[in-house]
Amino acid sequence: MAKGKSHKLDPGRWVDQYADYLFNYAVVRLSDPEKAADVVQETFLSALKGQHTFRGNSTEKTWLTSILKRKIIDIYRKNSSNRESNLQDITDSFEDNDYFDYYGIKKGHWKEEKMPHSNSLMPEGEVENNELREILEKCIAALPENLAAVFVMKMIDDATSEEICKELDITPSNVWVMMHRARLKLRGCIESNWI
Amino acid sequence: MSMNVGQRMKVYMVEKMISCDKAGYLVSKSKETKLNCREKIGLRIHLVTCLVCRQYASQINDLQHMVYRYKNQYTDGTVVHMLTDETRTSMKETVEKEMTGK
Repeated sequence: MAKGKSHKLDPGRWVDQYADYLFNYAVVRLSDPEKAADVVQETFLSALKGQHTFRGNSTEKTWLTSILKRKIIDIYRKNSSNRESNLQDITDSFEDNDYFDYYGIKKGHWKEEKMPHSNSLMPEGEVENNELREILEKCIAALPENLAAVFVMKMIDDATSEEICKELDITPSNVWVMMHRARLKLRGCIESNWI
Repeated sequence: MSMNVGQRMKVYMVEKMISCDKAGYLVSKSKETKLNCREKIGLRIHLVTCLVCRQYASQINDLQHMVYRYKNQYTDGTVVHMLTDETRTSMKETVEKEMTGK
């Protein structure tokens, strides 16, 4: 190679070299192995078609990951625009009938069965990494898709609220409410799932 | 109806009091952005008087740490979820077919 920094593509080895890495990346962000495998497959096919757009100033892995990332965001967008059920989640109101009471004197108070019962969300003693991962992945997978998307973009990919607003076509206060709802649900799920 | 200072203060406080649902929202919002003055004071007063929301706030801090720790398991490049051999093989075949098809 003439220039040390230039990278070349070698599609014949993509699956062997990167499929597991990309699959892992997608599972964490989609909480669904089947969808993850599909989107990795699509990533390879798009990459093959778009080989001429590869400039050689990043590695193959980085380039493939950026294609995958784009596709995952497209899935998020589709989820949040297509489904009517999501409309109730995209709102500016923090009121939530599932978690709080809205009648009489207890207006806005915690429902008994939804309130936390201790200061700590972690069980006593050491928690192994894989235990922590299992419970978080289980509880994130249980979130409504659009809440999971916002939560993962924010917490795993460190996206700013502005980036999330732009990608998902929502407002900053939508993001705050959605993060709030995701946290309400995750907290409850984690507390009731530690064995 | 006239009120003394104490009564007025009490009415003022009750008017400014926020409920648990809003407090929970502000706990979360404070993780995304700076709360304004009114929100900060409202939340602080609520937390002083409400044990459940104090517990909630504390658990949300734990959640933040848990997710941070979880994320770090992946950023070092560890592969936890593996493709099944079946899926990998079919993926390979599809890519090869696409390559030679041109």
